[in-house]
Amino acid sequence: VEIEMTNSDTRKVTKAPEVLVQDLDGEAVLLNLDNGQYYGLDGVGYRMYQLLITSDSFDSAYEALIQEYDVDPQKLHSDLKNLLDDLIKYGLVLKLKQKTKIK
Amino acid sequence: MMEKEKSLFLFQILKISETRGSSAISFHFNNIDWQEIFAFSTFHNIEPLVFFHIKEKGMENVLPPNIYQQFQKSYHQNAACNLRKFHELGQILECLNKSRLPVVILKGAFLASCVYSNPALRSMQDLDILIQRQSIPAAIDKLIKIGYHLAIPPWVNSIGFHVVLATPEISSRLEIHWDLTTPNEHYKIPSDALWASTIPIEIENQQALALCPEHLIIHLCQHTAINHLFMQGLRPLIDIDRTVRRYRDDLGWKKIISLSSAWGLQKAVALTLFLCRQYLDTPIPEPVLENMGCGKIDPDIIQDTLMQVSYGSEIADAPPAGLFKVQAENKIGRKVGLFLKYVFCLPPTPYPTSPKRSKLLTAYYVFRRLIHLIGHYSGSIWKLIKFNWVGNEVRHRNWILLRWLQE
Repeated sequence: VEIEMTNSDTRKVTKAPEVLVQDLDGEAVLLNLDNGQYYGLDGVGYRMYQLLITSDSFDSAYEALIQEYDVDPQKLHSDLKNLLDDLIKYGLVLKLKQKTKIK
Repeated sequence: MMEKEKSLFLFQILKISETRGSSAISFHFNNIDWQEIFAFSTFHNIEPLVFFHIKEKGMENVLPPNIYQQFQKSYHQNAACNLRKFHELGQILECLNKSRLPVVILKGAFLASCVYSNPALRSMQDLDILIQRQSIPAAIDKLIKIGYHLAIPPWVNSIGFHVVLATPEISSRLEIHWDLTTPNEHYKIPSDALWASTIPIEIENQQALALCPEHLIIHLCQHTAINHLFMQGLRPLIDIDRTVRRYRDDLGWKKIISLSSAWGLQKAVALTLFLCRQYLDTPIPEPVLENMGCGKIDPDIIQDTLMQVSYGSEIADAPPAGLFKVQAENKIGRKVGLFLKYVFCLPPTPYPTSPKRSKLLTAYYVFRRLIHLIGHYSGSIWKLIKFNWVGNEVRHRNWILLRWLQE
């Protein structure tokens, strides 16, 4: 499947040090001890989170997910981006580097 | 659906089946008001567990989407709350372990981390730990140094078995027990015996202790039946069920029978275990209940207890449990005696760090205790007296149960 995207995203993120993660048999909850914010993830969301923090970039995480799930690529890309934006907004992950390339 | 029916429905959802295919639920889902079931689960503080078992039984499709989301949100919220509490407990243990003060983890924290299959399933209000009486002053000193303070002045909190600490930024309380039973009761769990049989555990990468399974079950039954007259709802029965299942192969039932009797708790233990077996299929061998020495339990007592369990949380913010003992008594002289003993907690039990009380200090205690009682309970006591708040039926049940448990 080839999708048309204007940007490639090489953002790499890592779990923020003050964040605790609780695995709930496939689902998960992330808690930021500093601000008390928590974020609940269902099974798919948790898989997205795991790939985001272990992959080299957003794009790598996306590529892995598109192999795993039978899903509309645009929708997946948008959901993954929204999740990453939320995780950054709530201080649950830290950006390690950010670089944007125009195709 | 009446409260009792809701309880029976939830018992079926929460029941752990021993054999595949035998857990069919006999309710018609079309008749279920799931909003009501969610509210009832919340009432009993068991919505994460209900959600977990609904999913485990493959029934999530019968939930309307908005109810599914409410359950899931509660599940995640409880996971986040417990994460914070366990993090806090880890700091407490680190602090006390550095000072070589042994700590037994009690009730919620132990159950959530070591008995339930995942730590988000069991809600926790407070953290409860047991420390040896002579170590209480040192433990308080160490915890004050890491940011805790006495939540209730010791002169007020003189019920004789724990002290309550808190931190400004965390809403949960830390209850440090040196005993599990209040003085002046008809039963007694000796702390020395508990300490002698503790088992080592690890929580949050810290070493700690837990009650041995037999002591834990007796304590849970005592807390459920006597301290709260089953008014804490469904959750305590589920705690006991899961504890029995967790230690099933290692449980010394003979020890449970003999200690329950020796400690004056055989009826509390027998009735609580009976309910667990009856409604949750808890694997308790038949001879255990027969050998408890309290004969066949009166069916009326069982029905009364089920009503207490079902309606229990309705009066969770009720006045001190001792007030029900007062209310249940008919003779005015006895009422006054019980009030002084169980509500006013006289004579005050010395707080471990307090100096020996003079008459002046005892008078000060009485004054502070009175102010505390008025401040905390005046509204609910007024409702209880003026409007017969909990109703004659509940009062009658309390009276019947108390008498039966203490006979």
